[in-house]
Amino acid sequence: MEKALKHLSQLADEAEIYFQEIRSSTITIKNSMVDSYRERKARGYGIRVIMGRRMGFYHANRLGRKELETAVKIARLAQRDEHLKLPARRRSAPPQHPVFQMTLEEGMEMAGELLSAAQEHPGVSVTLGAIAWSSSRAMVANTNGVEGEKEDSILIAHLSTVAGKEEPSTGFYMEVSREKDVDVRAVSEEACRLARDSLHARRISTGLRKVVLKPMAAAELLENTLVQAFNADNVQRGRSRLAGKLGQEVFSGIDIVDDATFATGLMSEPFDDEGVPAQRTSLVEKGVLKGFLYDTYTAAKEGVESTGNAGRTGYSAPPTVSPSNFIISGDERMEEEASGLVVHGLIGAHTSNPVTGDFSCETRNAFLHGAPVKKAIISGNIFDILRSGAAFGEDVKQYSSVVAPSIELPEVMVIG
Amino acid sequence: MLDGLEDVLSLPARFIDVRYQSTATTSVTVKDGVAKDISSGESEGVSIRVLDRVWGFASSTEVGELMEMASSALKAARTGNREIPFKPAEGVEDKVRVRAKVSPAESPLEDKIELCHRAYSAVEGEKAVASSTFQYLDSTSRGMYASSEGARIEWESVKVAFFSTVYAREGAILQVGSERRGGTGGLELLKEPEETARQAMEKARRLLRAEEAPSGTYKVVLDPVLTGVFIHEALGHAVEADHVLRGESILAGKLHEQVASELVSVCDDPTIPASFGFYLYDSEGMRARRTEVIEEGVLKSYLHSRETSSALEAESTGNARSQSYEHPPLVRMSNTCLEPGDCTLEELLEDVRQGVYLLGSRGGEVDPAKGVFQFAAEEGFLIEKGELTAPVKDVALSGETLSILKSIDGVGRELSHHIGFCGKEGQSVPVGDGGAHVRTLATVGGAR
Repeated sequence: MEKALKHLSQLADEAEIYFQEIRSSTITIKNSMVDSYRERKARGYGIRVIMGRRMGFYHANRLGRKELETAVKIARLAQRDEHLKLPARRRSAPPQHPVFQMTLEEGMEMAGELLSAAQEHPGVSVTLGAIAWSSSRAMVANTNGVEGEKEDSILIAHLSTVAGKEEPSTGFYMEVSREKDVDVRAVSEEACRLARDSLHARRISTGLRKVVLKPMAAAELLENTLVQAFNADNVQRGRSRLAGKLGQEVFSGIDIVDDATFATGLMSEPFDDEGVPAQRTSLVEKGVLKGFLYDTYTAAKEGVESTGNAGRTGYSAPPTVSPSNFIISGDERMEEEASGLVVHGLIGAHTSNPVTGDFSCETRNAFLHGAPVKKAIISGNIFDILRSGAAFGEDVKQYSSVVAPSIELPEVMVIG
Repeated sequence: MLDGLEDVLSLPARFIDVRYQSTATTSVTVKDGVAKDISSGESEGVSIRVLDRVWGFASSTEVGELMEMASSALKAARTGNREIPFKPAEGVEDKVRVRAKVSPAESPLEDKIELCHRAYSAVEGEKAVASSTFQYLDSTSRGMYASSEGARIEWESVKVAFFSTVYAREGAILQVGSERRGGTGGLELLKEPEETARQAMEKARRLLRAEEAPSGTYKVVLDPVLTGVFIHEALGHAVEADHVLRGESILAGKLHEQVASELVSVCDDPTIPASFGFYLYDSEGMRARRTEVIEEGVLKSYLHSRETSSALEAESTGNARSQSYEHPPLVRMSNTCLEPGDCTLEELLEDVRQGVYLLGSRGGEVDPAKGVFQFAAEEGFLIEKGELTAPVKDVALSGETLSILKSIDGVGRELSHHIGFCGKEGQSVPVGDGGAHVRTLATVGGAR
């Protein structure tokens, strides 16, 4: 990498090399039995160069002269943007969190436990499930002296179940952790319980109702509506409902931070995918909009500092503004016994409109006063709903980037 | 072709196959008129799949590690205690190639940038346009499939796609319209970027004037795009035989039964030239072919891989696909298509006293076991006494697959194909959704 950067520094104003190596393993369960074991190993480089304020990106499995020069060739054809730059060397990064190693045998044991816990539920069968773990190592270095290496590991356990014959009901539950501490038995119990409790569901009437989104449903909804509104690229291009509202009260009694520094966060890391140290960024305090998420380019556009939110989907993609751990909480506590429509998961949350915040999703495993609901769409606008406030439970979980407990929304259109 | 290939294929196991793939991609994005984000790259790798008691699978970007991967896959394949059904098949030897008229690999990058600029020029300075993104993508792959049954298939393929996204603003209202084009072939498939840009712009502008959609059960008319997504989501996933075998399909045990209105005939066809879901051999080396899924409402066939066809004593339909060599094949659709009927749009609308006409798709999802689906339309219009009236926005459609299929009482005469990406078990594959206008009864989920 060092040699390659040296070569690039003769050809371009600035250059960066990102290296990633991933090893992942997945044990898949189908029809209540282990069906397959998959192992993936991938390594490659992302080369980014800037010359005359023009940027080029090339990815490859190898780092040869041809690959480096292709990145330069692309930069020559790209258009000039005066804000294009790579990060400078900055203060030291927070420490690396520990990573774990796992063997096939350990994974098989977990898969066995996931299955045996499910077998204790007569009338419920397992359709699909998995124990998946992966570890990755990434290095980023640029011609401005940025240099770093980071590692992470993650463990996922999920299970899909079905109960009943004539009018079957389904259940799905998942847990994700940075450590080998996932309680697979609990994942199994919850997936089986959801399918069984959802049997003999009834239709409900249409109208405005109190809705409680359990952590998985809350994460699915927020990820697809709210999170993108804090992306500085969307804000700068007029694609965010929050643009121009810094310092204003946008939500009622809600706090949101993006924090890449705490040990248990799934997205925690010492530095982002451009090498900028990770940090904690306050986005909303007591309902007042405090900030947005930036990478180096979007920060330069506004003359501010990057918040360390450059993320890549892999070595083959250039970095873009991405949330780390997006943590939402609020002043108001949720009552113990929730009285509204309790929703465990959503179908089609990805079809929401991230610009306007409008959503209309079918619910998965929904209950009204404890009784299962056959079919219910929840529909509304996340910005309008959070403006009128929400109450928060204590069962905080993380799915993808969203860290949230159960969230109670006072009035949502429910179509039965 | 690959070092050690013959050695790994002769390891002691019930079945082994190996896939090699090398892919070059280019992406050009023009944001608000500036071609700042251009990237390209090349990657290669190999994977091996071993069947013994269970499946063992290993992939790596390090092609030279094939033997190590093979031993690890073989070890895993021997750990389980399951007997996976898998009937032997004759390995095919072939060489196939998709020919692009204007090959992306041989076209200068300037031409690809120019496509995006042409699209931008169609919306530049136009009324209400707040922001726009145009993206060009191409992917040129070559690969090899080999199996312990003697299959040796060398293949080459190329795909292109073009996405137009236009944001329109009026006062505090911001709306977005998008259009996509693409297929299997070269730049000849992307002739009119200006037109897709204008269509996206007009959609966003119409949405500025749209009202919130009503909620409840209505007569709905779906445009061909939405019909295509409906057929894919609600029906297509339920006929994937792996879902059927896992007890996750409402169509399990319903072969040769009437499952839809007699107006409904549906096929899956990977052989449609230039289509986005085109292939000649699937990811298990099976020859691609057209499958009649529903004929006049009667369920004729599920979609199969070799494993599911062995389990259900059917023939493979050549529907085992994978996102890339890195992924094990799953039962997937290719191009699903609802056969056109004989109604004009006017005829479909004229009998509707109160309903909703829904257009375009923002995607959908389905719970195939329960047969409940959800998908979101991009825009809509109220239908009042057979006439299209007020435009509506942000409207989702949900329902039970079987009741909606049976309620179809009109199918349009014009068929059109659209491109999409379908996600399943963490893998995304390009698909084509073909459809015509249809009229049925469904739950419409709007905000009022």
